[in-house]
Amino acid sequence: MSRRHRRKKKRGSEEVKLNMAAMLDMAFQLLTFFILTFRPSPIEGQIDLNLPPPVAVAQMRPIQKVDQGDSTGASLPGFGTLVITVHASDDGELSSLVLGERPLLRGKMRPNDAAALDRELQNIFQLSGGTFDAIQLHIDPKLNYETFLTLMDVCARQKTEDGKKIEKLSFIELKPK
Amino acid sequence: MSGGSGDGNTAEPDLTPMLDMVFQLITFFMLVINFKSASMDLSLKLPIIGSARPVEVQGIEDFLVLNVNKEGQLVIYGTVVPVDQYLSSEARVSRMKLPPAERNNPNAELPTSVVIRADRAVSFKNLNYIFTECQKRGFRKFSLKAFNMEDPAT
Repeated sequence: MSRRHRRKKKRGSEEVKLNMAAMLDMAFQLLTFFILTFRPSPIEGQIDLNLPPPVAVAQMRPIQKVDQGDSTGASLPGFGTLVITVHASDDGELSSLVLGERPLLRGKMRPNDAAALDRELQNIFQLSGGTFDAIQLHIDPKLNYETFLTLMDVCARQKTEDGKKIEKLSFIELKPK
Repeated sequence: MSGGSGDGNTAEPDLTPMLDMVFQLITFFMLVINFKSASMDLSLKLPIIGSARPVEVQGIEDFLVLNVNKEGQLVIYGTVVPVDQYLSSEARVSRMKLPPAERNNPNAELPTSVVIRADRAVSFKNLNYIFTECQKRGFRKFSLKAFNMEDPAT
């Protein structure tokens, strides 16, 4: 008993000294690497689209009647595609937007224009009585990406009368004049 | 020789708290580091769309990030690459992920989602070329990237 006790006491008095300096050096090197390579990226959002290859569509004529809330005027059978034609100026900004055959916007796109287009489209899809279930954008090749994305965003938000999202969304490039 | 005049006492600072703190910092930086951002060209000025939603990765395992600069060129890891060659090779890789029965079907939808990060000034003509080339090769799912607000770094 006494021998074991003595041995324990002896071991307890020995101090193990770890050399922390080397570990600290390495840790600081790692820290320096991470600080130098750290670059917080800005938060990016996205708009998801399912885009099968576009097909040519015939433009529906009675859009004016539909737009005025005359759902009975939409005498076309079945579903249809709403065509939005977008022209751009030489600097890539919007110059005109035609909804079906009716001019809606003119000149550079302002913040309120997207909301105005949204309202118009909501009216059309709510009041068309299921006439339209797809949107096709005919876009000027000069149009810049920002305006294009704004338009796509507005179109992608539209819902049909029964509350389903418009899934048939496509675009084609207008031939340059 | 003032240095030698001590009684042999050595100053041994307790390094443990410092080491703790350093390891905590390292852990933080290791967790926030994002090697995927290397595939993104952070010099691009993305458009600003208020309603752009954060990235949802549920169900989609595979992404193909395409950076398109102002001139409409495809930039991959900082290098301009030819669109058709690059997309063909990526489509081939993506096709291998399809079930064996569908691999030889040229109209099969590829399981990869194409993430387009384009400069806000790029023209629709250049962008549409990339869309069309992707569609020709079987890509159907697209995500268009945008900032929710102005990038504070610019």
